[in-house]
Amino acid sequence: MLEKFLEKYPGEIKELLLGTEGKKTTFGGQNTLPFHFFEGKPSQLKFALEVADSDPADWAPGLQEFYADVKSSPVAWARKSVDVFGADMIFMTLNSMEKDTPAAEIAAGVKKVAEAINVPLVVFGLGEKEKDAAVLPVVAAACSGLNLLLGPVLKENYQEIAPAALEHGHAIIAQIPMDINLAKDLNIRLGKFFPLDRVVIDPLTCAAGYGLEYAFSTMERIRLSAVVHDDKTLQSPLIAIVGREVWKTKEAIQDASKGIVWEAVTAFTLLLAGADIVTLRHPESLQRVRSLVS
Amino acid sequence: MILIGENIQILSKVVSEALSGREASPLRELASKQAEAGVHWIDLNIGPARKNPTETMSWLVNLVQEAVDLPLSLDTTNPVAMEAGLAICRRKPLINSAAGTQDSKERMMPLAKKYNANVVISVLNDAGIPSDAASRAESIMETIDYANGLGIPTEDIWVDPILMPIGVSQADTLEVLEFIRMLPDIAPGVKSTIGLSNLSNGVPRHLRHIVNQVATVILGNAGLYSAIVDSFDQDLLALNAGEKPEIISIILRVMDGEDLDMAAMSLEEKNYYKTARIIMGRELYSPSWLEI
Repeated sequence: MLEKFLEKYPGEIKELLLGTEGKKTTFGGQNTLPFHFFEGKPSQLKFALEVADSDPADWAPGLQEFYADVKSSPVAWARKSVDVFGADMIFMTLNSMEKDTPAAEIAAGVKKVAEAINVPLVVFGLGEKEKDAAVLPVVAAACSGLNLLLGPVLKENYQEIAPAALEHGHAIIAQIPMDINLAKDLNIRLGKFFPLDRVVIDPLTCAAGYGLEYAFSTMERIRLSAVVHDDKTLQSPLIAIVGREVWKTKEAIQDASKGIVWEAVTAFTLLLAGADIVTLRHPESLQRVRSLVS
Repeated sequence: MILIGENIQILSKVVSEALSGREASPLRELASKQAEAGVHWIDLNIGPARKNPTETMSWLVNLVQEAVDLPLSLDTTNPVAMEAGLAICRRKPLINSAAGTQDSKERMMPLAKKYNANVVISVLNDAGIPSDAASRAESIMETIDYANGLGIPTEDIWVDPILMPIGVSQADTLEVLEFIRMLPDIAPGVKSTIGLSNLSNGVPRHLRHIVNQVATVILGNAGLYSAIVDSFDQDLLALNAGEKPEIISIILRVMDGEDLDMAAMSLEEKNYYKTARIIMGRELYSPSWLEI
C-alpha cells in the first residue's frame, strides 16, 4: 500500500571507493534524496576529522588546547582521530604550503600519515590555483596507488592536477564557488579525460549564520538535478568542508563549547542538503551528528 | 517579430566616444548598417546622460534621422533627455522605457501622452522584478491601468516582461514565456517587447549568438510582438524571417516537449537542439552545454 506513495528516481549517485586493501571505504551510491531511507538506497555518510600537516597556528584557541598533545605530530594526531575519536576518514590540510615548504617534503608527510592510519585519507591544498597545481601532483606521485582523495581541483588548475591524480590512482575533489551551473561545467570539462565516478564535488560551504542558506540550496539543487532529473554530469558525491568554516567564526573562537554545537548544527544541516562527507575539527561534534543521523 | 536594433548603445566604446566627442560619422554608419541589415527600429541608448542630456539626445536623434528612415526607440533613464528626443522625432517614437515604479509613473510615463509616443512599460515596480508569470501579470495590469488613466492608449503600450540571464535563472525564462502567452488574454491590444540579449548575459562570448538566435524563435513563437536585438547577428535575422525551416522545426519541437534523436542531426542542428533544451529548462545550464 505504502509503495504507491513512494517515488522512484531515475538518477543514482556514483559509488566511490577510497583507500587500499584493509582500509577501504565506500560512499555515495544512493538512488534517493538525503534521508529518504524508505524510498531507496541511502547514502553512506562519512565523518572526517581534520588534521593539519604543520602547526595549526591559525586554529581557534579552544582547538589548539584540545589537540595540544598531538598537534605537533600529524601522524599521532591522525591516529588519535581514528583510534580514539572514531573518524571514518582523515581530512589533511596542507597548511605547510603557506610557508612554502618544498613539495617533496609535504608529500613525504602526507605519505607517512596515509600509511599510519587504517582509514582513507583526504588531502586538501590551500585553494590557491598555482600553489596547489605545483604541490598536489607531487603528493599524487609520492602516494601512488594509495587511492587518496585529492583537492581542491579548480576550473583554473584541473588540467595540471587531475592528470596526476588519474595516473597515480587517486580520486579528486572538484571545487566551485556555490554555483550549480559551474559545478556542471567543471564536471563536463573533467569528464573528457577523468572518470566522473572518481570525482567528489565541493560546492563550498559556510557556517550557520554566515550564509549557510546559499550552501544549502546549492547542494540541494545539485542533488535534485542528479537524482530526480538524472543529470549525468552531477552524479558525484558531495563533500562539505564544515570545520574550517565554523571554527573561524567569532562564536567558536570565543567559546569552544559554542563552536562544537555550531559545528554539529552546520554539519547536520548540510547532510540534510545532500552532503556525503562532512569534515569536522572537533570529535564531540562528530559524535553528536553521528548519533543524530544513525 | 518586429526587431529593434540595439547597436547604438552607450556601453559600446565606439558609441560612447563618438557621443562624447560629437563625432557623427561612426554613429551615422552604425545606423545605416543596422537599417541595411533589416531591423525595423533603431534603439538609441545614451544611458543616464548626466552631462548635457538635452543636447546629447537631440544631436543624436537628428543625425540618425538624417541617415535612416526608421522609427526610433529612445533609450535613456533620464526624462529630460527623453523629452528632448521625443520633441524632434519625425516618426512616432518609442519610449524605452517606463515601469511601474513611482518615479517612472511620475516622470517618464506622462511624456508618452504629451508627445503621442509608444512606450515600453516593464513589469518592474517598486518591489523589484516580479519572480513568476502571475506576479508579472499582477504588476503589469496595475501599471497598464495607470497608463490608460493618463490617457495613453493600450495599442501604444509595449509590455516588457524582463528576461533574466540564463545563468541566473533558467526557471525565470519559462515564467516569461508563460507571461507572454497569457498577455493577449489579460491585456488585449497591448504590444510587447524584450531585451533579448540579456538572456545570454554571462554566457561565454562566442556562444552568446546561438542563445539569442534560439530565444528569438522561441519568444516569437510564444507571441512576443518585438525584441531588442543585435542587428548584426545575421542568423538571428534569418531565423526571425522564417529562413532555415529545419532549424526552426527542431526548436519548436523542443518547445512542444519532444525529445529528439541527435544521431541523425548535423553539428549545427545538434547545437540548436541543445541550446533549445537549455532555454526550455530541459537540461541544466552550464557554460559548456554544447560539449555534452
